[in-house]
Amino acid sequence: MTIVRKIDQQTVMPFLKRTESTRQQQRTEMECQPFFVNLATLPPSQLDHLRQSGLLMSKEVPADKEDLDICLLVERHIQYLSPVFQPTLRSQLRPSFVTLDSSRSWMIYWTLHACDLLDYKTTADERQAMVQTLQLFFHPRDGGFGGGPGQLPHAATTYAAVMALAILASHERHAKDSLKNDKLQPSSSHSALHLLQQVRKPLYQWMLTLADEQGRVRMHHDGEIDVRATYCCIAVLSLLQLPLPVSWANYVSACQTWEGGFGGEPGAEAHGGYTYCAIAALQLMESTHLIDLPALCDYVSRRQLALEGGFSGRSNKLVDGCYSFWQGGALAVVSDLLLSNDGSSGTKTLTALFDTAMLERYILLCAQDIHGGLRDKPSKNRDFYHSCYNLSGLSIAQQYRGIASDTEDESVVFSRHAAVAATHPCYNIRNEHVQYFKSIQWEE
Amino acid sequence: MASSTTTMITTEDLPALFHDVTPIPQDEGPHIVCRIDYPPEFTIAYDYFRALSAKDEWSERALQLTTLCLQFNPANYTVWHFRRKCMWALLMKEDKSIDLEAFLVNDLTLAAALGGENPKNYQIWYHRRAILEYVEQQTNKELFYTFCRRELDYTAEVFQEDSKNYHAWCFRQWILQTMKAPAIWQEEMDFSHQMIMDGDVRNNSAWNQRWLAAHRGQLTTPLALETAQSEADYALQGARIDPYNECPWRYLIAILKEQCRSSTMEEDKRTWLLQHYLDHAELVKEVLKEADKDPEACPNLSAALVDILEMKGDTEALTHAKQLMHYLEHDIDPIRARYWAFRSKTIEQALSLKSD
Ligand SMILES: [Zn+2]
Repeated sequence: MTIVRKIDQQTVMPFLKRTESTRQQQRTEMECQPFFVNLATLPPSQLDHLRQSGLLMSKEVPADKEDLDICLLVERHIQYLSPVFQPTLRSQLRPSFVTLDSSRSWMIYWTLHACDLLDYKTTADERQAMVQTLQLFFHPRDGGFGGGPGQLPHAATTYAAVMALAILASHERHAKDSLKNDKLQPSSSHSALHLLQQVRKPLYQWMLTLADEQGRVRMHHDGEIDVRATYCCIAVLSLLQLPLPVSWANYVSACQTWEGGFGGEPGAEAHGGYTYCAIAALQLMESTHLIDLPALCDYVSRRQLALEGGFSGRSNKLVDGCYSFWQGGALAVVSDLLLSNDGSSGTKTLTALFDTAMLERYILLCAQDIHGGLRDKPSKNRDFYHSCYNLSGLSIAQQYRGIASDTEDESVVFSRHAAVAATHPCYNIRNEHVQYFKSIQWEE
Repeated sequence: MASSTTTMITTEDLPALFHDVTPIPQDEGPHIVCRIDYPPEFTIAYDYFRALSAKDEWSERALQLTTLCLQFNPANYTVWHFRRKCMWALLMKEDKSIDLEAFLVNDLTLAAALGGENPKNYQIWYHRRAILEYVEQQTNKELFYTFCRRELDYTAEVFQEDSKNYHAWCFRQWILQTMKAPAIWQEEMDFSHQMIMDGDVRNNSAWNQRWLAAHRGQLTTPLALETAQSEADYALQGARIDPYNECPWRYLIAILKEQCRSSTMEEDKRTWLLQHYLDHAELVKEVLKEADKDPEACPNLSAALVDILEMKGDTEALTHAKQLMHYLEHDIDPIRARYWAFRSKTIEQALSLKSD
C-alpha cells in the first residue's frame, strides 16, 4: 500500500531565538503540515471526500490494494489555464488584470507551457490566434517583442514570446504530420515557424544593442541591468541558433555571491530566480568553468526546506512553489555537471542533488488548488505564473529521480498519478521542442 | 511650475487637455488571445498615451498623462520610459523655469506612492535609480549626495515594512557604490549590524549587506587577514545567538574560504586560522547544551564544521568530516541525503588519493 511518504519526517525548523523570520517560518509550517497526513490512517469518509475532490483515484479497488497516490488535477488545471490562449470574442481576463497588461506575452507562455506539460493539444485555431497575437507584440522598428501591442521590446517578454512560438511551431509540425487533410491548417504566413524566421535576425540585432562593453545586458533600452536580461537573451539566441556573445559570461559569473548562489547584479543577495538565470545562461554559453560550481551546489541544495519539501527563494525565507523550478531547475543543471549525468555512464538515469519526492509532495499537496491552477503556498491564491513554475518544477523532479523512468519504487516516486512531460532545464520548454529546434535549418 | 507637475489629472480631464489630439486605440487584431477586459478609463488614458507617444510629445501635459497611466498599471515600462523622456526634455528647456530638486523629488514621491508600502516592481525602483543617475550627471556632487542620503533613508523606511525587500537592498547597494565615499562603508557596517543584531539575526539580506560593507564595495579583493578575523568573530557571535541559523555559519565559511584562496596566505597561517575557527565553532555547541538541545543535531553547525574540515584537508580532518556527513545524511539532515552522499564521495576520493 502506498502512503504519503516520510510522514514521520515532520522536522520543523529549529531555533533558539524568536525573530520575525522564525515567526513567519512557524506560520508557514503550520499551514503546510495539515496536508502531510498519513492517508492510510484516515477514516473512509475522509478518503471518499478526497476521491470526490479528485485528489485520489475514484475507481473502487479492493481494500488491500487501496490506491492512495495523490493525483495531479490535470483537467482542472487545463480548464483554469487554457482560456487565456483561446480565441473568443469576449475578453479572457477580468479588469483587474490591467496590472499584467505589460506581461501579456508572459501570460501566453505561462499558460501554454503549463498546458503543454499536461499534454494538452492545441487546436489550429488556438495556434493561429496565438501567433497573430504575438505578432502584434513584435516591435518592427527596434526588433524585439514587448508585453503587448505597441509596447517597447523587452528581453523578458521576448523570451516568453519566443518560447511560446517554439512550442507552437513544434505543435504545428505534429499537426501537419497527423492531419494531412485538416482544412483549418493555417496558411504558412500565420505559422509560428514563419514568424520566428522573420524576427530571428532583427531579434539578434536588437539584443546586441542591449549590452554594454562590459557585457552587462539591459532588460530594455533605458531599463534595468541584471542577469535575467542576460539569460532571456541567451536562451532565445541559443534556441534560434544565433551567435552567442560569450563575453557576457563574465558579468554573470561576477554575480556569484559569498553564499554560492547568484544575485541579480554583483553584490546583490543570492536568490533562486537569479541563480537559475545565471547557471542556465552559463550552461548555454558553455562557460560554467568560470564559477565555483560546488559552492553553487551547496547553496541551492540548502534551499530545500525540511518539513515543507519545497524550495525557498533565499536563505531564511519561506517556501514558495515557483522556486520548485527556479531552484530545482538550477540544481538539475548543476547536478548534470557535477555528476556527469547522461553520457559517461551510458544510462539515461538523471539524478539531481535534492529530494525529488519531497518536492513532488509539496507541489501536489500544498501547491495545487482543488479548483485548478497552482499557487505559491496554501494561503496564497492560484495564478498563471505559479501554475507554470510549479508544473515545470514537478517535471524536473520527475526527470531527476535518479532511477529508470518506469520504476514505481515508493522511496523515490511520490505518486504514480501525477506524470507531466519532460521540460528542458535550460529553456523550460519540452525537451522534444528543443530537439526539433536544434534540427531546423534557418534561411540565412 | 513645480506645482503644475504635481497636479493629478483624471480621465475626465483628458478630452479638454488633449482637445487637439486624436486618441489611438490599441491594435488588437481580429483573433487576439489573452485579451484583458480593460476598464473604460484605462482605455481612454492609454489611447491618448499612444497618440502622444507616436508623435514624441515630451510635454508637461504628457507627463501628467503618464502619471494617470501609471496609476492604472505601475508595471508599464513603456510608460515609465516615456515619462523620463518628458522629464529630461522639460528639464532641458532653455528658460530654466523648473526647480530641478523639487521636480525630481516629486517623481521620487510619486514612485513611492505607486509602489505602496512594500514596493516590489522593477520599474519603480529603476525609476529612482534613473533619477539619481540624472542628478549625478547633470548637477553638482553636493546635490547628488543630498539625493543619495535621502534615498538611503527611503530604503530604510521600506525595510521597516519588509526588512528583506530585494529591490530596496539592491538599490541601496547601488547608491553606496555610486557615491564612492569611503566613509560611507563604516556607516553601512553599523546599519547592517543594527539590522542583524537589533532586528532579525536571520535577515540574510542584512548579512549580505555586511559582506559588501566589510569589503568596502570591492568584491573581488579579499579582506585583510585582520579584518577577516574580526568578521569571522562577528559571525560566531551571531551563531551563538542562535546556532540553528544558517546565515552566520555561511558568513563564517565564506570569510574563511576567501582567506584560504587568497594567494598571499601563507601555509602555516592558513592552518592556524582554520584550526582556530574550528575550535571556536565547536565551542558554539555549548550554547545548545545550555539550552538543553542536542549539540550534535544542529545541521547548520555540523555543515560548517564539515566545510572547515574539508578546507583543512589533512587525513584526520577529512575522516572527521566524513563521519559528520554520514550523520547529516542519515540522521539530522535527511532532506539533503543525496547532497551529503555526493559530498561524502568527494571526500572519499580525496582520502583515497592521500593513502596512495
Ligand atoms: Zn513565487
